[in-house]
Amino acid sequence: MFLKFRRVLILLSLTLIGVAPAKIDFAHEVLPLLKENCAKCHTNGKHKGGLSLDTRETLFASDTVEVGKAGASIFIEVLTAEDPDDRMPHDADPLSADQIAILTKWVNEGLAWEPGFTFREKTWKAPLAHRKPELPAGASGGNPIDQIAQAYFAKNKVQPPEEISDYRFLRRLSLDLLGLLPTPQELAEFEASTAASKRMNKVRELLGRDLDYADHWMTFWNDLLRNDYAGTGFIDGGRKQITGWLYDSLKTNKPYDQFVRELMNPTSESEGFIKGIKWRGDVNASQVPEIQFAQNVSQIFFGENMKCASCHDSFINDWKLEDAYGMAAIMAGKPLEMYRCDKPTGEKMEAKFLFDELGEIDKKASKSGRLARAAELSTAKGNGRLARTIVNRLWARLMGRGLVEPVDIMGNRPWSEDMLDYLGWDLAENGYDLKRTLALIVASRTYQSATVARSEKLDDFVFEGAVAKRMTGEQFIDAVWEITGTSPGKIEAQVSRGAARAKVAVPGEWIWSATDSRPAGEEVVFTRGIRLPEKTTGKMIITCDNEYVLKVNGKEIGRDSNWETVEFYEVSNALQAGNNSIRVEAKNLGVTPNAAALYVHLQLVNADGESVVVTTDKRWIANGEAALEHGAKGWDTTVNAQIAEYLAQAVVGESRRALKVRASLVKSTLLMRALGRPNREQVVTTRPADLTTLQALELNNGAEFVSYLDRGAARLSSENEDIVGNLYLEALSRPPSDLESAVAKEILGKSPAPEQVADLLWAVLMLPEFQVIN
Amino acid sequence: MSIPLEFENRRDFLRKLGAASAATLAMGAPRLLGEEAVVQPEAKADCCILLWMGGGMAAPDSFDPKHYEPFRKGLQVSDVGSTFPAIPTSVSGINFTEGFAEIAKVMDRGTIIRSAVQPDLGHILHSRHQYHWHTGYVPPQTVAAPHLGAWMAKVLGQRNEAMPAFIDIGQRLEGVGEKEELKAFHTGGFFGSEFGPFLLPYPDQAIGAVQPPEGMTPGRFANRYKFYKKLVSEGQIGKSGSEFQQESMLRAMDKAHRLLSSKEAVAFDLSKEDEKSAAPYGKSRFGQGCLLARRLAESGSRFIEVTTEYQPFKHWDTHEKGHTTVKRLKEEIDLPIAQLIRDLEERGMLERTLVVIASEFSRDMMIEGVPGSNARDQTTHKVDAITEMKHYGQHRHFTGGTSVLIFGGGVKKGFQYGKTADERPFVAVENPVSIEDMHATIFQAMGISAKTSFDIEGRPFYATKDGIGKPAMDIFA
Repeated sequence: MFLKFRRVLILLSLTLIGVAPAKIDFAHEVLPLLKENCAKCHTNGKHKGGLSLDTRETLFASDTVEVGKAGASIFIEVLTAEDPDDRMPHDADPLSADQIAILTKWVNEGLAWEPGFTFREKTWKAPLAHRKPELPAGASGGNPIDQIAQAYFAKNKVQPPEEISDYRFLRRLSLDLLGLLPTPQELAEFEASTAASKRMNKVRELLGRDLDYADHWMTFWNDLLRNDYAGTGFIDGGRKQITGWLYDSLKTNKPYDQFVRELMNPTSESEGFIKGIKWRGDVNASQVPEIQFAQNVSQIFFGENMKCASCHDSFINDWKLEDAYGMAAIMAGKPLEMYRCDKPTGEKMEAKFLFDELGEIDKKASKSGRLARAAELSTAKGNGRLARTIVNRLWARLMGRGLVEPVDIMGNRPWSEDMLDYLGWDLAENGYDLKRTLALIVASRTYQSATVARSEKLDDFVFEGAVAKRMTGEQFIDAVWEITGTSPGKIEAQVSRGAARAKVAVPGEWIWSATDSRPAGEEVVFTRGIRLPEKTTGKMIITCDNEYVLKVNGKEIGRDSNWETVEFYEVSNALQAGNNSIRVEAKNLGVTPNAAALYVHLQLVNADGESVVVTTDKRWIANGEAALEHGAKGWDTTVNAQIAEYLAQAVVGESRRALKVRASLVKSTLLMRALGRPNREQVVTTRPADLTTLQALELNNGAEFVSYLDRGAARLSSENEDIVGNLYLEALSRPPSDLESAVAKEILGKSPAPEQVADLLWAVLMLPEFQVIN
Repeated sequence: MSIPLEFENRRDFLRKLGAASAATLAMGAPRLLGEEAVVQPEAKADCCILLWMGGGMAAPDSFDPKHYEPFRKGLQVSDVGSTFPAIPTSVSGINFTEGFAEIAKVMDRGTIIRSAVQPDLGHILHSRHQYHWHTGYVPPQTVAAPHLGAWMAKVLGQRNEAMPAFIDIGQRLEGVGEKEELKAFHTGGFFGSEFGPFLLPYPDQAIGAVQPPEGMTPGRFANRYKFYKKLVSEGQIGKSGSEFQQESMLRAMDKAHRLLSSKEAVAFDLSKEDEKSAAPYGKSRFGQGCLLARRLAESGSRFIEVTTEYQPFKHWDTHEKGHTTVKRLKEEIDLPIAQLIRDLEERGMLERTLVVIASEFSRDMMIEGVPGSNARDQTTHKVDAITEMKHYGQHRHFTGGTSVLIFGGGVKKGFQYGKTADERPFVAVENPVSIEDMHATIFQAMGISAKTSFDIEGRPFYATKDGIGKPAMDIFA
């Protein structure tokens, strides 16, 4: 059967060359016909008379069709049988001549089929509710991601990839969380640190750099929410930015549920999102702002494709025209008339939420009432899809591929339901704190492992480890601006980046004892109560001679036993309105009595941006008595600089870089467009993974890029430092090998002029190793 | 000048490209649908040149003469069809308007479609109609629609590996009005930037785009690349994970480098054109663009667009002083267009090159949009009787019927298809050709079925909207 079919196809293609008849469209012409007339008896496992139409293959197997020969196909013959007992469909009106013509043509043209389409009901249906998976027994590691991954690897007989070095980890982490390369100084400090928890400390420190974080994630959210500083629609006031709101939301790590509510039921600052994009003139029914709302909310927040259903009942998923219009009606001024394929149907649609099992929307409610209700349903406790969709997107960003792929079809089965459900549950359970999810992922051994080859599989995909990612255009340009010192001086996005850095003093006192008076092995519990009128964010810097366990409101935040390093913690989630208790269980080590010390700096910021600092002082209680404050005895010279640095960068949120303005905060340029920054007319959730020739051309001789190289080279060639070594450290986060040094020095020559430095710069920046986050 | 393909490299390239496509497929990238269902027509042309009259070229003042009334004070606007008298062409029965004497001479090599129509989109924004004309889809769209040139680049591929498949000449995307809207359709769309336009806004500076950076000698450029390759081979990119990215990145770098040091680059250099053969093209940007297009077609580009450049209220976008402006424009473009046709013919290339002269819509003295449209009247001077020269011209946008001139690519010679009414409104009254049908016709000549579709986010996206475009088969010989 199959061989014959192949031969017929070849014949067909030979005879049809030169003619271009209108071909039958399976999805729009054939499929609806089969659904209505044949599906009841011949699909979804039913195969009356031996005919199953579930897939193209089952149709072939029935031997009722001769591909290319409708005349010889029983499948067609039975449609016109004179005896009603023989005629199909049974016990129903015969098909019309037009319908028969469509099927005849379909058979004659080779039985085109929608790839992957099946009439069979999906055996797996994405659940809506949250689920907290049992973490696998016997797995170790402490990080739930690793526990789930270990069990998965064992079950699928996958050899887990090896752990990566500190250098590579820091480069990956810094680019993934902040979009920035680590500085050589940062690398050196990190490498030198011997603290057991140094990777986790670094994660906390980076996530605490609020401005750098917001700068970086603007790119991701601008792509998703179609926000930009210039673009289509603005010319006629058909579009409104949400830049200021978005930046503030990222800067303050606004809980994701609140974030979504503010987008769906907006204030004047965030209304640009649901207003959509309107070009001058009339718009076809499937692209009015209400439908854009239905499509974008469904896609961005829930990973559901409502684009087909905006025009007609979808053929590729279960959404109906009514579902799309139900969502659209939420923001419509009045009940919305449905259009099928741009023709009015005369039916009006009332507001209905996408997952209507979560609750109804009051038909009588005003527009703002409906929006508020939709926002409520979107973030309802029973709606696990909201959290799953975003954790999957974050996972894809960090790990190079989603738990579910494509990331916009959340109805597809994840490669690990446990992993997806756990992360989703954890996010919802912990105040929708996205930084927590990021921290959870990057703290895992699964993240901190060597990348594996990108898999092409979709259906039977097996996770073997993270895959390398290409830098976004913004990451690339930031890195280039940083290395060449050519960042522009002015931010074009209307964002509030807070006060400029003040001269940082270390305000706190050391407590415990500066004299050699504390017994070896002494354990002291230091506590401090703080009453907060409202929920605030908090960041903490701490170090202790010799050991500590830090708890906030009974929850362990962290521990360390090296007084020469200072740790940074984000403690916002542990804080609450009302009474709070800070507790440090400290221990003095040694063999004879010696000096002991604790330093804590807690920065609290309320919703209005007002900040209060709490440091160690005599108000702290030590084992029930007032703590002694005292001068520093050597501790300050070792760690004060670190504390000041943390205060400046982590607490104030300032970057330590030459890079003054990030690419995410300026209007798109030709170079950025060439490197994949979208024009944000459409929702973009995945940037292109490959460098194209046109991009490579732009990087070879594009005026913008060339000018960065030339200006950078002029600057670097006037410095007498180790150009090659520094460049490798800055760009690749590692020193050059001897061979690389030799080649690089060959490029530079004896006394490098700007031209040679520019060529070296170019060569290093073009290395795949530079452009890939590996 | 024709350069043979490097088969060894090309095969290698295609093999690797296959791997890349398969990999991007997994991530939801475009996928050709139902290959066995769509039969691609036999290509009549290998290369397409689109000469774009940005801003709305009035058919009655260009290729479709109507009742002519010369300027005089007190002239009723409603009495004027054309502001130029008709002139004969080399084909009896087909007339153009004064100012197109040269194009008129080559009419016997091509087909004139007089019945192209555009939809009424209400209050008119040029760039929106241009977006529609160039992609076949009316914005906004849920996915980024690819430009006509991107479709050709994607479906037909490069003709010569060292030449970009899709080249766009003469349109600036910065420093002009409606630039964001222009950018929105000068794109590879969902096919990705590999299939996007290679932009050459200034034809006389085109060579700069395919040369090493300004001030860099070829020797230094070659050296830089040699050292780069050395650094790559000494480098320590992850031995397990990143081979794929490394491969694809190096391949792109290699192709770019080859283009920048290839002998084809000379095609971009207008100073290399013989003085005598360059002369008819003149010194205007459009004329130079036509010359460049000819050189690029010779060297193996797939799709080349040359535009008179769209700038709001400039060139064809006449809201006042229409007659005067169009008179000047005609002087600029008449001979270059005719010369391009003659040059292609002389080189034996016209048969396999499709040349299309088109605009987003027509213009009219009276009607904005189509009769009965609610489109807002955008003429600068709303007068019934003309009192000054600046009132004399086609100052309203008209979408009910316009002309498209086509040469080569297997179209009939000296043929007229469709027509508009003799009296106002000058709407298409015979064989209307919608934008979908126009695209289907162009695709037909290039060997692409109007029903060719790609799977985008799980739904089909067609070469012509919903696959409905029907080629005007009558225009093919």
